[in-house]
Amino acid sequence: MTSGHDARKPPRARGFPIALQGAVGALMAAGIVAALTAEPVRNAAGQPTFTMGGHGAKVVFFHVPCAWMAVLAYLVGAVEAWRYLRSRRAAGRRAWLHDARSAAAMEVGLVFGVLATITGSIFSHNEWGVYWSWDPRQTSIVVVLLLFAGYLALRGAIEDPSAKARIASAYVLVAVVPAMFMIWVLPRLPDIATLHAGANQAVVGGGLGTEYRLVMYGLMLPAFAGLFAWLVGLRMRVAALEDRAVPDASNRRARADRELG
Amino acid sequence: MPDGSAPSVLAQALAVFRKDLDAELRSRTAVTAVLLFSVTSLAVVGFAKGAVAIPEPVQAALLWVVLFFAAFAGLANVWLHEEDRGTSAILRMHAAPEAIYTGKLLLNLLLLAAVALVVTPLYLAMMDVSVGRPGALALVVGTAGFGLAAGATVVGAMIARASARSSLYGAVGFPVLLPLLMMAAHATALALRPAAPASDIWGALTGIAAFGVAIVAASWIVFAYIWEDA
Repeated sequence: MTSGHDARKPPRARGFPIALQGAVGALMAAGIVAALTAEPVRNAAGQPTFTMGGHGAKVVFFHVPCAWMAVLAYLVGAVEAWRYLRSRRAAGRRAWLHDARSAAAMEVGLVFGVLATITGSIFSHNEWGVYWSWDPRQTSIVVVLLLFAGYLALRGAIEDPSAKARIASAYVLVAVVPAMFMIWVLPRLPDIATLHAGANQAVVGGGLGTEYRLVMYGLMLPAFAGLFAWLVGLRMRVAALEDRAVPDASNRRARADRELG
Repeated sequence: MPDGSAPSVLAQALAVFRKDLDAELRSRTAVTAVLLFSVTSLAVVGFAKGAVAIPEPVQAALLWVVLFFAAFAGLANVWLHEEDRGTSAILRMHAAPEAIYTGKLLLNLLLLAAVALVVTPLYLAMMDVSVGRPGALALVVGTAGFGLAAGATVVGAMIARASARSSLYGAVGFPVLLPLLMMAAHATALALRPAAPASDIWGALTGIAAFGVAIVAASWIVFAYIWEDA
């Protein structure tokens, strides 16, 4: 993930503060314990509403935060790509940080997207008997995964560091259009909207009780958000080390300029 | 330019379009690649189908699979020939980025229109598809073709700078165009049915047109960054 930057100011990325690392670990541990021990959801007659005695749906505690983090990663990637394009001519390491953060968010987003797809398939299999049914939600996560993968493939195939950062940032911004269509337009089209209409209703439409919501929104989502920020920070530090260890073309050019006076 | 002022963006775009059209008419690289690819994929699809009757949604999806790959076989050529011949720098000096994007988009629209005019009737005949609403089908192919050309143009500009471009084009372009292809296949399936409600077709057409316009708008905003040199 090398980027164009000034060789006289080697890039540095700050790490995730140690106190926050502890907080993320504690939240995650509390979230996992609470998720595993939460009472199964029951209907009015006292019967478990999900399979495996009501425990079959608990994978949503991991699935929903992963899906949210994949979307958050795309948003961070797009905002940072725009900030990179606006600041790319500025001196110092600000532009480098924006590009590195955008690339790191896209890379971490791919991981969360894959995890969301796997956990979603497990939920689908537990509750509806099939791993995959191409409902609008499942299709949209596939498109988001492909966008992350396309971004990384494009980034890896451009050698010039400045062109790499610019073109990859432009790709993230153009790809906002299909991402928005997948989430807001396509599921509302006639015919498509009626397919698998119940897919998310078991969870979103009141299937989860107060305790589940507390665990999900109070523990798991903040823990995953912290984990996301932590991973992005780590990836940026690796990128900074890579850029300093393997000076890219722009570094060499800057050094040559300096040596020539 | 008698008064010495720079020509307008539209005039520049038309000049880029004419230049590329002349080059294309001379070499016929893109149009040959696209047409040959379409006919080959049509034959593959027809051969795979055999005498089996397939439902409308599958017929519609196959048409868009053929058009998508045909578009991607040739539409990047407008950028690749500039990079391969080293003429990008001269083009940069003579036209604004927006004009270059618009000129290239116009040529790709023309190419895709030519391909759609050949491929769609051939497909309908070879696959023995009956069309319930021919007018609606023409509108769907035209509107979705606009979005397809717009998306293929901007993705082509991005991958022109990359290595391993031919294999990358589909991988990078497919996710950008997937929602359009899904909407186009859905609207085409509606147009094949004689009894499909007109309001449903209009709804789908609005979505497709909005996608094309949004891609063109996003491309206009970011194209200067893609095209910039160093």
